[in-house]
Amino acid sequence: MNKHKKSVYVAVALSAAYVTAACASPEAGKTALKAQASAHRSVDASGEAIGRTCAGCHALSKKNYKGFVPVIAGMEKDKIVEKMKAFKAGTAKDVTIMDRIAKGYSDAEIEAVAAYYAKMKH
Amino acid sequence: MAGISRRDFIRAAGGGVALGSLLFGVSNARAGGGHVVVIGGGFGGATAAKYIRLIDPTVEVTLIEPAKTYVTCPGSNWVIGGLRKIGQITMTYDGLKRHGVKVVHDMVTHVDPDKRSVKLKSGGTLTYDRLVVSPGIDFKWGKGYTEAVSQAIPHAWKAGPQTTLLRKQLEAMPDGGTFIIVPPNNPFRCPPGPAERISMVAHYFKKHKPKAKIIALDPKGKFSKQGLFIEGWKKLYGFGTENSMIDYHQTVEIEEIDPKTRTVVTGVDEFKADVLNFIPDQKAGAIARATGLAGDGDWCPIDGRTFESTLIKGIHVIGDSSIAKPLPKSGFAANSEAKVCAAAVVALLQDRPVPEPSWVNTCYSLVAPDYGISVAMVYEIDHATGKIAKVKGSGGLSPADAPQKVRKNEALYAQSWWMTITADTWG
Repeated sequence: MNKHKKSVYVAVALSAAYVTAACASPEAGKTALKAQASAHRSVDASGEAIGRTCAGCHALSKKNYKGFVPVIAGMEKDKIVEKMKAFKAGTAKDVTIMDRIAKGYSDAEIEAVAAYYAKMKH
Repeated sequence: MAGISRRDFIRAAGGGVALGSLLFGVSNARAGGGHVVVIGGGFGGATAAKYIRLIDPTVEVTLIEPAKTYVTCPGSNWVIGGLRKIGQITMTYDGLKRHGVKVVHDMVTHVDPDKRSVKLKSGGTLTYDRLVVSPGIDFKWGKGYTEAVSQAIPHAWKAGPQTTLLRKQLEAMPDGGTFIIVPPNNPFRCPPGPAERISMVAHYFKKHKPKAKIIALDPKGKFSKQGLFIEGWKKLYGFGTENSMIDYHQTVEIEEIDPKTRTVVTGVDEFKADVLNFIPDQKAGAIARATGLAGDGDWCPIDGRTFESTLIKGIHVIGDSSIAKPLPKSGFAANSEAKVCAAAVVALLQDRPVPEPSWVNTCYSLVAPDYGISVAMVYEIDHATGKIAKVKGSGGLSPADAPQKVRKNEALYAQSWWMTITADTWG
């Protein structure tokens, strides 16, 4: 459990710079809007802001976990990105709910949240 | 920096820390982080308290909650249906204490936004740099239904003894009896909750009281996940046939109830119940309204980027009490709002820009123990309006007419979700 806590703090510290940069000025938001014609969002959120919402269903540790939703903490970044993009495109197999949720994120957000979970120990 | 100037912020933070140090004997080394008081230990308050500490462990967080344990509303219908015992959905505050949250079992009787202080029932006063208010819902008593009546005719819309009371009454009801449920008007906590409750009672009756009937008298014209619930009721409980266990009336004008005879008087007819479940209309928790956070209305307007009140500076309102639409009043949404609020509170305390928010809501309902359905949505700030908005193209309902495997998976996910979100909130 201590190990896990530590990893959360590290992840928060690492992505703090990203958050500050992304929100430095209202102009930054406008640029993001133009740059992503295909994105669903007007301004991208950080990997940690999105990642915290995933933790409502995805447990952050495999220890003592008896649930059915996969633990994504510590999963390889590329694997998460691939899966999320398949959910978003509607090409994933055995879909329950993630196809509906994955459509809520831009490709850059998917990369960011995958990096956030890949760094986490489980 | 919504609604607060840098000068105001520094003055408030400085004053708050000085007083906070006197009250708590906080060492100077930690005083820089500031003091956040959180009112309410439900999904919103507990998550906010924990995540403020996770994001910035130098911030001192005091959570004020009268009860020593918290019974979750999600899962309480499963207790009513006999799938769970009440102890299995009861949380403690030990997990929050391990994160360094100071948990005070007391009640806030008064908030002074100018002095940035809260008064406790036990007599003490606490000062804050920022206050997070998450008191859940209160009921609008009336139409013959009072708080005293609720001791015999449960609403069971705040989980705990009310849940147990309804379960006991259903167990004591003879086979062939009638259970009547009266859902509330919008907006209310847990929009799919009444239909899940009907499902869980139907599941229990099917096994133990097959001659019993369920009548829903709903003042509204439609309900959350209606198509999916009706599909499930047709498959499992004979809905729409002569032998239907469930009879659902919509746009019913509820005139009053007679508690002595358990009769619901409507615009056209009277319905007598053996077990009556009356769920009153709702409003923000008492302390939120008493503080003026709801203005002249029932619910509290907020700035979606921070959840800071648009009426009173320095106070954030999250969970059911806030107006966060299109986010629903759900435990999942409260948890998601609390994380956005926690990140914003830390940024504001550090005088940094507030991070770009992101929210998810996923509501699972059980139609039967192996039959689950859901609605999900991703939310963002619409920067054109500054308001919370659904991300276009995201979310939606479980597919209609899906194979049983999909329904079974969602039932497993529903139970898995309960385990994970309670650990995320209180663990």
